Amino acid sequence: MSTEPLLTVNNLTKRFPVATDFFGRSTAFLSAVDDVSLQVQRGETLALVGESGSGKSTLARLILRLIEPNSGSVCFDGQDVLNSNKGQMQRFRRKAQIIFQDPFESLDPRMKGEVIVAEGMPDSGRSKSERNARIAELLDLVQLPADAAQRFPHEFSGGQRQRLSIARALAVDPIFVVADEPVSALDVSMQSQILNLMRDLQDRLGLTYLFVSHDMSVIRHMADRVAVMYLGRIVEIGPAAEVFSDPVHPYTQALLSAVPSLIVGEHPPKLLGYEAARAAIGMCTGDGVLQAVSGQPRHKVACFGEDTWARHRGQP
Amino acid sequence: MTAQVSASLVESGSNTAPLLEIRDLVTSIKGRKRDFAAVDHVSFSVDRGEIFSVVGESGCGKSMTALSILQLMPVNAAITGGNIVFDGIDLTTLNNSAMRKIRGNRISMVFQEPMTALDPAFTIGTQITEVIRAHSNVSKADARDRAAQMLDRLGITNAAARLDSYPHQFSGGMRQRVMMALALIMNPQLLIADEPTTALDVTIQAQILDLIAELRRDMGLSVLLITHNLGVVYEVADRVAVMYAGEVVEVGPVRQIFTNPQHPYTQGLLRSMPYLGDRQDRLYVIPGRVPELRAMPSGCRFAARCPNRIQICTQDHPQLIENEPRHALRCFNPTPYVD
Repeated sequence: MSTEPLLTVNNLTKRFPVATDFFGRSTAFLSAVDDVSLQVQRGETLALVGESGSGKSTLARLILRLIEPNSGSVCFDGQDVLNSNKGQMQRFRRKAQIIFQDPFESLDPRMKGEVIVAEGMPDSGRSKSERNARIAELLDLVQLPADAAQRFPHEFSGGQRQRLSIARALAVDPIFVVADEPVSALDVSMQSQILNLMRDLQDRLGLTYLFVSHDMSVIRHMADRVAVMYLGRIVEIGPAAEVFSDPVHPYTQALLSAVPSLIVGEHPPKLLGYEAARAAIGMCTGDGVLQAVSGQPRHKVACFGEDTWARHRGQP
Repeated sequence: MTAQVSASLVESGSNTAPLLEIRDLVTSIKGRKRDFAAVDHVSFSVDRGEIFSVVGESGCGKSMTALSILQLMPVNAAITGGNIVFDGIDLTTLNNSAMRKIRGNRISMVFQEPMTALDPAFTIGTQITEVIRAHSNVSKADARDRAAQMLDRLGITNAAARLDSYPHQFSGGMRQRVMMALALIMNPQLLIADEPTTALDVTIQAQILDLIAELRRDMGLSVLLITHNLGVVYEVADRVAVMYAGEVVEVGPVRQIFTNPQHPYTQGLLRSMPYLGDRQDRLYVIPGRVPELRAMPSGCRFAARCPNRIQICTQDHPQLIENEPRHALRCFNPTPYVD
């Protein structure tokens, strides 16, 4: 296995037009993803966290080239994704898959389980019995009963539906899976099953995950590294253990302190209220460049108000 | 309005009976051959000034319980047993017009989706003043004043001007505040909040939860909070009822239930939650799945999934029994909680 990153994203930017003039020309833009660069190593889980509108889902879709960026580059497994032709894109899509949030909407209600799972499988070079064997193998992999092949989506529970969409994603033997809020539509007991399953599959198949979520406790459980997004930019990125125990950016601190928690004293100290955090970001005089936190070379934070920065550095 | 608030505080202080008492409530859904109880002999009470939470997973009957209180169930469902006593009145005996005087006036409700619960075709001001004028005899101008005051009270800046805005001009959190304003404008005694923060971001969720706690403190509001989020319950509620398959399986003070849950289902729910501390190896999984409404077992409804199952569990149906003061449990074989 090579040591270079599986995915390298450089200066990715996506602007959506929000206003047009009389002639339909765009006059104002919203930067949904603003000059984002990151890397994902083979076999790791990078989590993207942020609130609605932070650009985390847009970034995930840009990386898979489901939408086209305005500028920037995406390099995946040695391939320049944004400058690939049709055939190269097809190979890319086989290696990089996505699981969506809502298993009630992302499965065609008129398709049986086997059709859903087999839809992406290459047709050539497989007999019908080989194909059925592969479907059975995939259903078994996501711990669904074999008769799931003959059932329609409405006959499954939410958790089973999400298993089915995982099986569909794995049907083409991907090495990279983007999971966009894969458990936010599920009940607590289903959620833990799917999270366990995803980690088992990662161990067994050596998958690399880009895990998009707004739920800090879910991310704590899944992520090796975390990237915190705010208004289209990464404001903090680093190993999960460091970001969770020592959040530096006021926005990360606000996100963590807002999580309702079951365990007394589990909250990180409420360093700043939410309003104060918003204000601190507003005051930011920096250029948004990520700098390493002292003593934690892999933990980087976007420069913000000088005062707050100095205060953190002053800590022992 | 201030005068009204203090009056209701004095009133509630003098009365120690619970504000809302639900006794053996059964709400059934019509089936082709027979009816199925979606809410099955549910009993609990909400004290004055208390935040009481009902927690459970999809399909456990928690929302149906809330809808039954206001008689807002879907057309194929009906209350077939029990009483709902609100401030001395049995709501199950009221006809439609009497019920309309209670809804939105003495008991009001906020729903989960702030995106769809407001009418997109009318301004916020029109929608709030409509509620005021339906329940009291005030002029349009006075109603507008009251609406503006309430929006201001709920932290919407420049409230008087925002009355002329349409719902799409508000963000999700702001829309949920507008929903709360609508619910609170008649100064109700009880607020029923059905998943009020589920569709919101965590930071906005924290603001709405703070707001609920503040309204309880300042206005003496009682709140029935329906949610699937155990973290939210722990943060704001005083007492909690855990529902499973249409029944209350455990009820008690929040601290007690969360530090020392007795029912295996409550224990399983708490164990299966990921938390912010050190990264866990595996999350706990409750095996199996909820029984179908059409095929409820005659014994304990959780028996098939229960690690503590003994013989009696599949034969007899356990009753909800108070095992310590204010803490009741529906289980034949409870075991101490180990995390």
